[in-house]
Amino acid sequence: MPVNAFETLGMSPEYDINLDTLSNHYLERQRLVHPDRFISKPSEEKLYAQQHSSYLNQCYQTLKDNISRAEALLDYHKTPFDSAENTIQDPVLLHESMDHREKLMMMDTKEQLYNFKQDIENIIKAVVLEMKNNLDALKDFHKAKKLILRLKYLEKLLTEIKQKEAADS
Amino acid sequence: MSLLQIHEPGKTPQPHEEKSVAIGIDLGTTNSVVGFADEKGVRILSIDGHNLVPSAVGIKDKNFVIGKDALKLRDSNPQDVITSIKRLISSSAKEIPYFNHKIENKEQDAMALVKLEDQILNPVHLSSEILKYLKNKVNDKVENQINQCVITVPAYFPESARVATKDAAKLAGLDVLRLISEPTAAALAYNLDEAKEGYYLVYDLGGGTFDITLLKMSKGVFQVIATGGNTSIGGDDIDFEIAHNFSQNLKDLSQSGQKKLLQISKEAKEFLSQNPDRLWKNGKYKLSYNDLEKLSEKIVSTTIKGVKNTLIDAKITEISDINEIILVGGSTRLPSIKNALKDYFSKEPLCSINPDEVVALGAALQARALTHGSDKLLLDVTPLSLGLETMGGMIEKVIPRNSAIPCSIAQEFTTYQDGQNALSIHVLQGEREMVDQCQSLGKFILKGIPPMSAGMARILVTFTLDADGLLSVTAREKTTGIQQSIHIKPSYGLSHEQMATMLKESYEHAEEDVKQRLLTEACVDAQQILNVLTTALENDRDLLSEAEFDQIRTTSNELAALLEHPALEDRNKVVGVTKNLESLTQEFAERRINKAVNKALKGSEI
Amino acid sequence: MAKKTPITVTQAAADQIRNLLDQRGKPSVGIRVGIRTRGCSGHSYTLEYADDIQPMDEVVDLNGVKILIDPKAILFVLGTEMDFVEEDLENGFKFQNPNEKGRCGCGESFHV
Repeated sequence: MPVNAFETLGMSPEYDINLDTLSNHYLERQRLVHPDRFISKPSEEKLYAQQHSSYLNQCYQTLKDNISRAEALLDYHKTPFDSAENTIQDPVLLHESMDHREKLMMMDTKEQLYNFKQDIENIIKAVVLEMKNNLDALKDFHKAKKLILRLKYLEKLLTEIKQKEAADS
Repeated sequence: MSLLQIHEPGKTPQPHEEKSVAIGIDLGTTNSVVGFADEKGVRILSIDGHNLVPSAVGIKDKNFVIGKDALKLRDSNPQDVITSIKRLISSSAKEIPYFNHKIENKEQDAMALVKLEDQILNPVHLSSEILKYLKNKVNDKVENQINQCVITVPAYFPESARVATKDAAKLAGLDVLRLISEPTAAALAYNLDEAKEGYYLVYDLGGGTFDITLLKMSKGVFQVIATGGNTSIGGDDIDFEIAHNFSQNLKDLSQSGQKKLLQISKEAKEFLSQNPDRLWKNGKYKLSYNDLEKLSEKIVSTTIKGVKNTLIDAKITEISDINEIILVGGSTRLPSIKNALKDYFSKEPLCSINPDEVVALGAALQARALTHGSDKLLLDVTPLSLGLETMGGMIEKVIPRNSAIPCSIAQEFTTYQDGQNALSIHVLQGEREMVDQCQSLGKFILKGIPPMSAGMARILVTFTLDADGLLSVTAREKTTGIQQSIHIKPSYGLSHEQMATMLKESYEHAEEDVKQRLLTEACVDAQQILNVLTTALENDRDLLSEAEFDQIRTTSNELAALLEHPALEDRNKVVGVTKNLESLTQEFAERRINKAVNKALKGSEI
Repeated sequence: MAKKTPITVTQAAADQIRNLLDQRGKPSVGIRVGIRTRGCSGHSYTLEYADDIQPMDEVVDLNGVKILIDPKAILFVLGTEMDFVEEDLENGFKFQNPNEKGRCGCGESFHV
């Protein structure tokens, strides 16, 4: 697609975006192009509507998420994040993840799980703040790539915690 | 006659282009309901005097019997009547755990087949008979035939079942404007779009399916955030538990014995839901509300677990973020369900609209919005993940579940052997990791990949889901541009050939009638033109030149000759000559109007 | 002497026109009845909101609601009664036309 997600949804290319504005822009655009608006139109127009609507969905999905938004921004700055060259080589991150995993295995009470979840959510918040600083202010893309990796790992851990919580309750 | 509407200046549509009318259909497991909305509001269209039409199909003396009559027939000929057809549409014969009718091909991984009288039938055909019945009954009451509709499906309905539902509608001669999910329809009926912005949870327990949908309301847009549920649990399972409680060896009973016991069990459930403080008795069987609660406990707790998982999917952490809980489906009348939800959410669930009618009302509102425009919009999601088989029987997810639709997602794949010149594309649906745990939707092979070393080819596979949630898959080798694509038809569903044959069969009898009707219409039109023309020529021949007159006369004579003994095949000829004559006389008609207007204006000036 | 109006309008039709004009959300002088020489077998009526009065328009005033009749349509609607009918699944306006001799199957076009 020729236009990037930021442009499509009328957002300036920054990491620190207002999610309500994003959602409003997305809904405004979806109102115009959704196939439901073209139900009695010729099939060619219906197809355009479907393509436009699909692309809007894809862009919204990309910008809404803390990780894919960072990746989209790196694309925008022409220094794309390549997961193949960014496998875990960082000993600090490797140690952190092993440590968290061990903790999760040991947890058996609801309260422990809940507290652990809170801890991880706080770490995620901190990483997102750091990401903002590196992408928007410092433009340190190398550092941003490291943060993306850490964020990916933390999000996965959070999902696992929640799954364990649901299974136990 | 058709009625006139007032339009904005210059915006009057051409004749036959007026906004069309569409109904909403809830094609339910137990009952089917038709709704209709206009500017006066939304209502259920009663059929044979009832709002609910039992989703039952029977055959008597080779004729289909639908609804109440089918249930009546069941009393005398249980083997010739089938209910809960929707359960057959959502899984293959092999996967159906228990069913109230013998399945002819129980061991096959194919669409289930049942026998009524001596006919073997598939669920698409059976569903189409119900839809046809509803359509005909509605059209009996109106002059302009309605053939457009919105049909609801469970949110958790897999791709294959959506395709099957659309096929059934096509067989019934219905044009489906949109498939929408039942819980979403229910939310539309509650007019939540005028309610407080925020999250709403729809809990839908029908006879044979369980759906959960989480919606978000903002700026007049209804977004489905997450869906969950289970296509194989429902209120019928509670009946089954009760029946099992009455008779431990239920499965050893005869088919009709089983049906009878299940019917009694259902009655017990319905009685106790209404009268929890009384004891239900029928012959040697009796049941108390406490018994019922115990027997339904497992199913209720399974559904509550489903609710929790859906909230996790949607990343909702605070239960208080949910504004309202909406109950849909007859089975939510069971008090223990209301109580379980009330306990979990600390909130009284909404159930002011009849849970059996709420879905059809919502479908009708959506049908109105689609045909007449609306300032509201519904954004739906796909309920199950879609992916491809990769090496070692693993699945690579291409579209994760709860992705907003329509959507189109492309992923690059490559070859794994040197010189590999073809790639098998196996499309699957489901949440599990391995191929044999998911539902296969179809396979195709991309051929003609130029020889390269392993991992060098770049094959772009694009999954496209339309707004109904129907999938098509395209594979393209990037260096050569070779491309293959398929519209997914489920492997156990109906093939295109089967569908074509069924359509042909359903048309065969109707074909003659349709041809005759078309011919009659064409002849009536032609005769009208000729009549008008005769009068016009009598009065205003002077408005035509000799050459014009001759041309018109030749063509009108030709048409008149055609009308003398028209055969079925002559229809196109009649239409063609009529058109000719219309265009030849268009100018004449305008001259006549001008003449008449001038005359009238002169008259009024005096 | 009061001028004889070319068409009569039922109470139901007048009420509905008034409602629709109120709902239109922009000032209108009334509605315009027109005619179009296309259709499956001849001509069809058009009903549109009117933003202004054309010099040749015939004006029917119903207690403040103006119905403008396009000069080309006068002949066709002369002597008709404009009614508003509500049917089971449909509603709209209709002209009861004594001048009319035939209608096409769909009812949208007619001959005189």
